[in-house]
Amino acid sequence: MSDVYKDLKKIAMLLEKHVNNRIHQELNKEEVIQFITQWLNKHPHVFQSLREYGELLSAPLNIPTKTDTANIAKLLIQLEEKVDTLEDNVNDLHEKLDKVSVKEDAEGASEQNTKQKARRNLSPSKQEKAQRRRDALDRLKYYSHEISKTAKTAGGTHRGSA
Amino acid sequence: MVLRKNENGRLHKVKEVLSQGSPQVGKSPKQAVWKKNKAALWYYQAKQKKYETPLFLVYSLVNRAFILDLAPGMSTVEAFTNAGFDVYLLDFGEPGYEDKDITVDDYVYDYIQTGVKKALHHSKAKDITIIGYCLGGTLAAMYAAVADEPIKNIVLMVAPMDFDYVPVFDQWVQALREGSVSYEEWIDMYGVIPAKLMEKGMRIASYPVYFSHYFSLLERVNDPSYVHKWRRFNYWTESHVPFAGAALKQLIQELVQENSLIRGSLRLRGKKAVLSNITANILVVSTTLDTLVPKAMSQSVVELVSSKDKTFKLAEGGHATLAARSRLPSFLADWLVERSAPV
Repeated sequence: MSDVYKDLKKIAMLLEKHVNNRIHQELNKEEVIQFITQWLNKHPHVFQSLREYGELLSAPLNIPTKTDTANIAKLLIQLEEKVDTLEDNVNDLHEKLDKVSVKEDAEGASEQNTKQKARRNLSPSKQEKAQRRRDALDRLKYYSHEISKTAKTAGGTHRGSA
Repeated sequence: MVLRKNENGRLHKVKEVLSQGSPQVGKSPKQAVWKKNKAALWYYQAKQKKYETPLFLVYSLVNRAFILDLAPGMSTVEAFTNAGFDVYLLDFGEPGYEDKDITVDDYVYDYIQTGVKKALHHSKAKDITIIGYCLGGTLAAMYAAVADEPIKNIVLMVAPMDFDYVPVFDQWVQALREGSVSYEEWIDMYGVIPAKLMEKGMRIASYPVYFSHYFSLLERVNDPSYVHKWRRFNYWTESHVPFAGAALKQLIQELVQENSLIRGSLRLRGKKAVLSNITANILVVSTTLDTLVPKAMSQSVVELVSSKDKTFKLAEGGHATLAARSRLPSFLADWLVERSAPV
């Protein structure tokens, strides 16, 4: 019985191919192209006029049009792009800070041995300065991380689900 | 009598399948790493990462991207992650009326290029593989022609690029080239071409009358795994998305009327987008039964790129076969594995 359905499918496919070829041939004729082109040329003008009247009426009736809502949506998209740029800048800053931090750590490690040996001779103000610099770096990293998080959250609130 | 009873049972089952609601699709675990307007860049983590070079998939602007992830066990994305690749999928989403002015330049620079940068940043990879499907492949080729990012490999699947050959409606194309068909006002009238109209347009270009799939269902309605796939695939064939008017006008003018990607005259934001700029390893794939994008529309790209490593492959199947697969075809798996940096 399954063979019957297999044969039916083959017939359907052949018929479909034949009909589609015929439709393609008919639609590809010059007179059809001319007819459809004429229709295509008339169609937009009518709707353009209707749309213009709609826009005109929407002002005194105080009704928002599709263009109005699209304009609001465009503002949101612009805002999203600004947040995205901010996020990129913060990420760049974060990466730069990471690089500086790695460099500082490396320098700190190489100096540590020397410092340990000369600790007694090292003035406390130099140690304090180094510590302050590290603290400032840590704070900067923390703030950039927080800004990055905020930017991501702000982006997520108006982007909707996809 | 028994036969008639069986036939009725089969027809009843077909009716049942057709009356079921939309199936669930896109179930692979994913994470959005970037969103812009309606688009999203989804990240699918490799099951067991074997390659440093991530895959960046660009899908078409015509249909919805879930064809790449129909269901567990029938998902190209899943096949890539199972093979050890991290996958990034750029889903352009559904444009609204506010997006009517989005151009091809915007899609290439603001969506694809930025998406690739985000994927590189997220993956911390040194380079990336771009895989474009259908019109997504055309856009991927345009992007690769202007890209500054480190593209290691590029795969173009059933991508329409060479419009010197058109499979159907050659008289229409001729009329378009002569300027006797004015489409701009018609597109402007809509702003964004509605999804239903896109579906009808694509249908006319491929199969104006389409019923053989119902006979396929009738033949194999007793096979649950076939029905499972049929429902999802059928849902995808009916899931077109609206098309931004400005991008459509630009594609008609640049590709159909002027064939500018192939002729080397395409400019994107003032920059020449010539295929000879592409130096990445390239694989161009067409399929034997593709009536919408036959091999003549893709093959010539291989000759125009500057890549030393370039391959054209004619695979078995139709237009969507390569996108809706549960396992990677061996030619693709082998090609990618040989050209991706191992972990």
